[in-house]
Amino acid sequence: MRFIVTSSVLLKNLQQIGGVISSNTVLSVLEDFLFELKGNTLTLTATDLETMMRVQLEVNESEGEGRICIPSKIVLDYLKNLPEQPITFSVNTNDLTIEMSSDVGKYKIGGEKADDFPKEPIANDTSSFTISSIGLIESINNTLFAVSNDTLRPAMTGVYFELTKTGINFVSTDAHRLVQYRRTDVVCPNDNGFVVPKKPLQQLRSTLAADETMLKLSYNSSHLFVTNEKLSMSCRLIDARFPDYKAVIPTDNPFKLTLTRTEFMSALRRVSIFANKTTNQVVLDIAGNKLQISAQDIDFSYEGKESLGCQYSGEDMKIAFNAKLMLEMVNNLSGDHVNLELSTPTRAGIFKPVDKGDNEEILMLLMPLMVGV
Amino acid sequence: MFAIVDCNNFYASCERLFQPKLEHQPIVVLSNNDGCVIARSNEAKALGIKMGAPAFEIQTLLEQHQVAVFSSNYALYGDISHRVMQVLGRFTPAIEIYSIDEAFLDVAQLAFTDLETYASTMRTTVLQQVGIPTTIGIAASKTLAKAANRYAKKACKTTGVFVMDTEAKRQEVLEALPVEDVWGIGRKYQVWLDAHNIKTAWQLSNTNLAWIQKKMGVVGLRLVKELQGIACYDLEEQPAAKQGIMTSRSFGNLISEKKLLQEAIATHATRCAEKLRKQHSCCALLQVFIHTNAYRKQDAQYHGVLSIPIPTATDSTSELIQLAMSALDHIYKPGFLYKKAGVYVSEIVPRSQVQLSLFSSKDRGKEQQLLEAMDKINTLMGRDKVRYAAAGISRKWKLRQEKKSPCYTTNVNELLRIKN
Repeated sequence: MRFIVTSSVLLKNLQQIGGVISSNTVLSVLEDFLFELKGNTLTLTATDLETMMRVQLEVNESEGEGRICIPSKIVLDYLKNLPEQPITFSVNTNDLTIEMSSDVGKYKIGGEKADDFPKEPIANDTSSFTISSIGLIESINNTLFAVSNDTLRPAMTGVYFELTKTGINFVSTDAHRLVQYRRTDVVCPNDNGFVVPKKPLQQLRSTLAADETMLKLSYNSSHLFVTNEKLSMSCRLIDARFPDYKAVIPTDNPFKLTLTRTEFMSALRRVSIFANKTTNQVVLDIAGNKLQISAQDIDFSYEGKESLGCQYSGEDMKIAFNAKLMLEMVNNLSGDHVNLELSTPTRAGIFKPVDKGDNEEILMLLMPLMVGV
Repeated sequence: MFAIVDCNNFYASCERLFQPKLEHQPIVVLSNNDGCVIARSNEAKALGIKMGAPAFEIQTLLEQHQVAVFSSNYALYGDISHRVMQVLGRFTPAIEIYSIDEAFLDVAQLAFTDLETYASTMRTTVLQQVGIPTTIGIAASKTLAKAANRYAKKACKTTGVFVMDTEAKRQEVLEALPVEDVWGIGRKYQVWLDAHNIKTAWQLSNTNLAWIQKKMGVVGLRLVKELQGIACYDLEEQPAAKQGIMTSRSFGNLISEKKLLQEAIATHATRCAEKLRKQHSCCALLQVFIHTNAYRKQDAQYHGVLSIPIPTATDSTSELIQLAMSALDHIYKPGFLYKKAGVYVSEIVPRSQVQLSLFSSKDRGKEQQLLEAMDKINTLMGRDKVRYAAAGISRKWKLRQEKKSPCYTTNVNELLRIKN
């Protein structure tokens, strides 16, 4: 088979799916892209056995049909160093050689058998719904940072998609914090739920364009399939039950603290420099309309303290949080102001933006650290 | 200026303390389970007994020369060490207890004191009041003080003190010191330095600093600077809180029964919890391991290890025992002869800064009170007076200590009898 394609177009498409390929693979074929030519349509596939991504493009000219696996690193390195121009791929599927020729040179590499490339999972018994690209990207941005790395609790290493007829809840937790992001502009066929691992979500976030293009999401008991006109992705779901997260969201946090987001974050960043490096503990001391943030590291005799104005309705209170986790959360909230709802120094605080977006709702939960026991 | 006070043949000296008849007799102390030689008196060294020699290999030699052999008695050594440190503490408050038998003292503020006399007085006081012979090295940095101490042991046997206060003395000491005996030089660096023809501490102190930094990093750079007499390490008067705590023991006899392993693991978990509470911290990761004896080629071999992250960091004995037991359930395989078991806790945080978890809402207030009460009883009335039943009573797995001397100073039932 033979085809001519513009170098930059091919590079762009390969880069879209290339993130799936792991740096240390078990099988050598997993280091490859699968090239499939049918008519003028070239289909490119990459996989790590858990996640598979596929993209289609039209080539400028073609001759014959066929399939072959081409080592990803060498072809990407070559294309990156080539100024834009048409290149000709001549593939011999019998002896598995590939010749790439440009205006200035000829390059030869060896490929692998297309039949050795893993098959795509079959989409049996699926249900599906649609969501806009931007909607999915927002959902991933709002939840992925709070996912756990604890492989002994696999359910927490992914984002929980909780489907309801009135919308979707995207939930993530690492047992110390929890994010629930709700979108109401999505209609799901029935109530259901599944946990999607981190890597395919990262991949989608970096590949998808942040626009209103609609995506089709289909799922069955083992896989999720995400498709639009040009791109398709399938991934294995995490086979574990997500914890009963609703039970840990406090329903009655009577005290409300309103903060200017950027002001609070800068103060927190400064004070946390002086905190214990393992725990990152900062203490919020709230009295009247004054908030004092303090931290200390006894090992090095470091101490930091800052005061800022706030709006507060509730009893005076002293509560400690991990500054790193708190910063990540507040950073992921939008708007100029955030609310922190509290009850006691040993129960979770709830962070919410003051301004609500259309069709979306977000709630973040953070467990405190014990103070001075 | 730093001084290092080093107790001579410490374990052997402790044993000799209560048996004066052993004066001038060869003594060796064996490691846990009476395995290898870990301390020797000068007389034993003269017989050619090597450090770390397995006891069974030198059995004939020991009998032939009527060497006094002891199992290690850490309760005794710990107490005697404490007494030595107390006496030293009376000379200066600037003291860092570096190990069971060594202490660094900062003597920089004694500018108008004759250091030789000062050290000499310290030495005789310790000898008189505790009965342990010591050697003292004094120099501009800790690394040089260590070198001076080593030199004193060989060259100043009668005085036991060496003060490195001139450049000539520094050269003399470092030229006589093989590079592998420099504080901080291990086997790997020795091989590398040797390949570059650096064989003495003096040569090392005169090497190119950039070259050293490239290979050995900032630690190597500090080491060379210290050898040059520029102190890079200060006295650490407050010991840093531990980053990980390991409790493990080899068994006196090989064990295959799960129940005995459970008892051993539960005991180790108890010790870890006690140590955590003592330094007011909690751990967020627990690791349990068990393994067979790799030297017994005739046995099937197995090494099991499992780490369990703890959702809310803890110092509770019962929680650690529970977690350790479930870890053991996962790694235990019947049919093997186990030699050793241990518990390691890490990801240690101060007790006052424990991150609470969303999904475990255990109220620890009551348990805290219980543990405090247990610790109090056990401190007052002796270790393990109150303990968790999981740790067992029979202790069939405990160490072999056939030649252990009495705990003369820490157990009222084992006091020295002058006359029956």
